Amino acid sequence: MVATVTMPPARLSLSEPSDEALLLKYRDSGDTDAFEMLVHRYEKPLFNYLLRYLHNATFAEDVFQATFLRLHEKCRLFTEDRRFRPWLYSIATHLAVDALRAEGRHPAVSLDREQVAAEDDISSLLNTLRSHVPSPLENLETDERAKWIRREVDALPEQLRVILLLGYFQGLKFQEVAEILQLPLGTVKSRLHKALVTLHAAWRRNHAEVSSRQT
Amino acid sequence: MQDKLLGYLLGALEIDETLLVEQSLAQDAEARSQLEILRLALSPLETVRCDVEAPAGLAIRTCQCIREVHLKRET
Repeated sequence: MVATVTMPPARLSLSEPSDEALLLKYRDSGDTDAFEMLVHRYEKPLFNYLLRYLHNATFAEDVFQATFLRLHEKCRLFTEDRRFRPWLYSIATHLAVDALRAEGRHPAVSLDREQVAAEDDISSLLNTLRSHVPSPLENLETDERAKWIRREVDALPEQLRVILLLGYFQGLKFQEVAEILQLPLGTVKSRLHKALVTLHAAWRRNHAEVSSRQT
Repeated sequence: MQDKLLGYLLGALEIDETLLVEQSLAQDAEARSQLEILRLALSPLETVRCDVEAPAGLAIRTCQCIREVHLKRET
């Protein structure tokens, strides 16, 4: 598989119709070309989001298809004042949670209702980083480093991981993440900080372990 | 300001907020220093940020599937 960094399809050239315009066209006229353009536009970014969320390509493909089927069924509910991308990712996220639950793989906590401990330590990230020059993974080979980072991201509490997937890996705006997860904007920001603080603490532990093995 | 700087790095801010952060960065050395620290903090994640290609024909199969479901419901 070819790996590239994908920019989310938010910035379109002026000649391209917006996501919202395409869905409204489909809603109003049943123009399947408009709908199919959306499916193609989101093929790569949405599949990658689901793959990271579900850790299984078959699941990711199934949920991708189910997401657009749901979109097709619910397109009458889409109104001019809504934004397409948060709606799409909201549907996908809920279907992904359902898929994991059906497999008995989903953690017991809900995505949007449970509080994350120490959610208010928004100022701690810079203090944490300042106290330590971040070089904890330098001693690992690239493949090993990537594997280790993926494992640490996967080990984050669900409420932090999903925000990292949407805010960092998908490049969505804070406001969009808040809409998708139905959370206050401040909670989205603080959870993203918390995710980074948690990852940084893990990187420091890793650094200490590697250093102690080498001495 | 930290959340704005992080949002700026991620491209997660709205346009008006982005402009405000850019103004701060132009005038405030401390803000630039904080931005650099945050950029370093995010750098390990860059290793795993690459996207893979979607399975071949996923979008086409999805469109086909929806057409079939739609037709089935209409008949």
